[in-house]
Amino acid sequence: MILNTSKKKILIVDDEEGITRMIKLALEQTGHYEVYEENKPMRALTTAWSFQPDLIILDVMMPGMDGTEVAKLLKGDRRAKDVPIIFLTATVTRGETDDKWAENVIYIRKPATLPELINGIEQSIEAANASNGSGSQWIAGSQ
Amino acid sequence: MEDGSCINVSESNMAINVLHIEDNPGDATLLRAMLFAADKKGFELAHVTRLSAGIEQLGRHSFDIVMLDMSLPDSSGIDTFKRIHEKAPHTPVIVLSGLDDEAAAMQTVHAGAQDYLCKDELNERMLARAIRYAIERHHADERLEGERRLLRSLIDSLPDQIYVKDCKSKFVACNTAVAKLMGFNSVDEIVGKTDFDLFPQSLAEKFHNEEIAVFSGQPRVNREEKIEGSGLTSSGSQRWMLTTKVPLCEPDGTIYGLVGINREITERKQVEDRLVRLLADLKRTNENLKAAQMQLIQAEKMESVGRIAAGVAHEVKNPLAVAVMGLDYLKNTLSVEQPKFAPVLNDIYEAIKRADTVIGGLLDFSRPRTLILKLDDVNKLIDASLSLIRHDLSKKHLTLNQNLSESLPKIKLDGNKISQVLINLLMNAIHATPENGTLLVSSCTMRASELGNSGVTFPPERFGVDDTLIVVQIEDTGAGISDENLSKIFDPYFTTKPVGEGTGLGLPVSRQIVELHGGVLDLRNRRNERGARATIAIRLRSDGTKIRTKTDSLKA
Ligand SMILES: Nc1ncnc2c1ncn2[C@@H]1O[C@H](COP(=O)(O)OP(=O)(O)O)[C@@H](O)[C@H]1O
Ligand SMILES: [Mg+2]
Repeated sequence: MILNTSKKKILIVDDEEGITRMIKLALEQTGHYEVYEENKPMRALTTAWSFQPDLIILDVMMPGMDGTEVAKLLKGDRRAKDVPIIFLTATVTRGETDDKWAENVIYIRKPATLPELINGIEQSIEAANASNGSGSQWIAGSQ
Repeated sequence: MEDGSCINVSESNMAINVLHIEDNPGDATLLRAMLFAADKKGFELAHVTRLSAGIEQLGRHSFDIVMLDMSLPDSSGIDTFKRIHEKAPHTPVIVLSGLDDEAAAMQTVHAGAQDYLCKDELNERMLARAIRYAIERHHADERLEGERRLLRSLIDSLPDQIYVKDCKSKFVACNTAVAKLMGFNSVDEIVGKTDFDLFPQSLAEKFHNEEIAVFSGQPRVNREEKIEGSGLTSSGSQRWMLTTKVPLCEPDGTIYGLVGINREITERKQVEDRLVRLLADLKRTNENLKAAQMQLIQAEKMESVGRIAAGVAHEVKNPLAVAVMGLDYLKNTLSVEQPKFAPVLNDIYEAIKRADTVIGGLLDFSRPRTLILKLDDVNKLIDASLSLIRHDLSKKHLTLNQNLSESLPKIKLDGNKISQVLINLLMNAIHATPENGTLLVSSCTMRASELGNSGVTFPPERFGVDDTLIVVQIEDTGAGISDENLSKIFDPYFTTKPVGEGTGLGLPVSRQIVELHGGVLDLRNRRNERGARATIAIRLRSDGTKIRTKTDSLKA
């Protein structure tokens, strides 16, 4: 139990299975993360409720519902609102990553290397913990 | 016989009313008898014996003709005629003379009498005929005189100066406008003179020469000239005159003189001037339109490039992301167990990075960009860019000549972006130059006008003539650019290089960047030597104010 919770839980939402699978493989291989793949952006919130991730990775461009809409949904949810988000984007440039539209959100360009991604994950979680006090925002909200 | 007692006033319109003034009763009777004999009803005769009575009759009745004896008790000689003619200028007069005063009778004809007849030679038929002819002739004369007067007043009422000259360039006739122009009161003061009597020698010679040309067959002389002296209109503009001279010909074609017409054409000239100006305006407008159209086309291309780029980027970057992540996964697994795979994985990674760079360039190009302006040293940027391509230079054994101005002032620009431009241009030059060729990189300041003189073209609104520019030029010794390609090299995706080597985005992106700096990027063949020359020109702002960029002007 205790060992299990020391792994950080990452929810990755991207309509492309290839990406979610590869990120899951690469991240879990490090032994520090537990990754859950969600290929349907509409289900991101409910999946977050049940999986209770420490961080959510969102693809920006997805059919049906794009990443920023998903992020708004998450940020508007009482329980999910403090979970840090990383946007993965194919088209973002340096200029755009500077204008954060919400707190606890960072952008990472595709294709990112594993170290770049891990770096982003760690920074985001650290920043979230610093502003939220404790690590697990899900405990308070869980029934 | 009492004056007036024997006046027969005919009711008939057909009869000719004759006033006979004759003091000799025998002559009077004879004439009456002759006329009666010639045509019984043809003549109505009134006879008086004194001039005063004749004048009185003319005041009271209208006569078709006056038969006038020159020697009367109250008048004699030509005077007799003159007084009658004065009283009734429109009534024809036949003078009757004796043998002794035939010379005087002759003079009356000069003074306007229709005819003179010698009393001693009269016979009935000749008399009747003479009277009828005299009346006819007189009517004809009157008609002619009427027409002459009409023509005269016609040409005098014309504003143009009209004149006729004979073959010796002597004025034969002219209208009053000519007299007025030359400062005379009457046209008679001009008739008989030549231009040599009226104008300075040189001017007269010029006129004379053109008249000689007319006389020797030139169908027309036209001369437009400014009116000297009082040559300004009330609105202050120059007045103009058109002189036309055409030959006057006999029916057989022989030239016997010329007609000249001087016409003021100031208004026409002004309209012409306005037309010329309008035309120039129109041309300019047209060119501006064309330029605007080209810009629109270019902008449209950019826009579609932007749309494509975003789509392509998304489609390509996702697979690349999978590949990179997969590589990292494999690296962590394989590098421990099978170290020999490490370099292979690295090569794959490099290949992916290259693909990513291409896509990145595309995105860069399609995006509206913002400049990060900082005071920077252009020579330093050149040095930095050169150090990045040194490897490519030496690979082809190219000689690099540098001619960088030592006193180049710093200017505000986006150093990263300008470096990108320099590298693009340098790489193009290297690609174009054969092995062992030469590259020349130079920097200097010059006036916008000098740049224009050196053959570089740019939109006139880009720089003021006196603006100081920082100019960087990159010249190569390659084959240059064909005429056909010259208009396309700045088109996105235009490339003559093999797939994988050229993207066709270097020049359009570079131009966009330089234009964002308010500058000009030009690429053309060198004038007298083989190879091409790329020119970057950016205005130097000594006051250090921000460079006016496209984004600024859009906001404004
Ligand atoms: N210095 C040069 N000499 C001759 N041709 C040139 C030079 N620079 C550019 N060009 C021509 O312009 C084309 C477009 O250049 P660019 O936009 O930089 O794209 P690319 O270099 O990828 O082809 C080149 O393919 C080449 O034909
Ligand atoms: Mg190029």
